[in-house]
Amino acid sequence: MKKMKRADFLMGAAALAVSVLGIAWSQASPVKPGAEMIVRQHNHEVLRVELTDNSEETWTLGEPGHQNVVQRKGTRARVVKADCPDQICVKQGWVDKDGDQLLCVPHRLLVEIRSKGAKTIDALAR
Amino acid sequence: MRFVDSVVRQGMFVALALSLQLLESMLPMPLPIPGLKLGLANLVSVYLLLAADWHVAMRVAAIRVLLAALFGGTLLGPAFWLSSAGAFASLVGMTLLLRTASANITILGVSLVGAILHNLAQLLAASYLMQTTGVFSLWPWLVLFAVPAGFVTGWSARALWKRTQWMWG
Ligand SMILES: [Zn+2]
Repeated sequence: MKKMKRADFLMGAAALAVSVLGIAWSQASPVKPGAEMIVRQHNHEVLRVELTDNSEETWTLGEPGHQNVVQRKGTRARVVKADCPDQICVKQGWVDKDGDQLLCVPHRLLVEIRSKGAKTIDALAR
Repeated sequence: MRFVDSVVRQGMFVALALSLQLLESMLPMPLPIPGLKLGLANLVSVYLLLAADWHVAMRVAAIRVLLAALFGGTLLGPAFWLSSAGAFASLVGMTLLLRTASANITILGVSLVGAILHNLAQLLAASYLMQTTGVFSLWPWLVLFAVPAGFVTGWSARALWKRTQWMWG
């Protein structure tokens, strides 16, 4: 049995190339001013605030056992703490780019940064 | 005797896959990305595709995902659907690839495709659960990790298989 065939190598190289291009493209996407932070819980919008000044706000969402504390500082947003098992939402840290998302899959919580009136794929699909 | 033998063997692989999944959940993740998995338990699936067949691999994976969810108390929760989608998509993809292209690729390529499908299916499940397509912006990161993970898994599975062929005689 051959250790590795050409197709194995080509598939790996192609996947890496596509991935690197994808990352480069997403890093290059522009940040638009006047964005909003939208929070959805179980697919229902629970919060929508403008990301404008340098003030700071904190919201506690959900009941204990199902709770996320979301913070806005100026135009940045993060999940300060959560009692979900994986803590992925907290570890994601700050987001501030158009289309950025904080995701807490166990609590089905989604924090999204979106330019006002931006036509996202989601909006088109609806 | 043959039946007992196969039940015992499959039980052993379920236990092994469960331990690997548990071990993985305790390891720190390099990046906080939903759906990002090293796919340690996938090693058992790839190994079983080599040593047994897809029936066995599918059964072991299904029981592993179910038991992990039962033990973790996440049965029918979001994490359960994500790992089910990942395990199922990767096994189906790997089986099809082994059947159609095994003349041109080795288990390394098969495992690579399995790792990529595993991650993409998790994203798809997440985007459905959260009703957002925004999570797809994460796919380049998932693919980036799937390439080394897939190759290492394929390589390890083959090495294990070579040393354990006597078990399947
Ligand atoms: Zn969380």
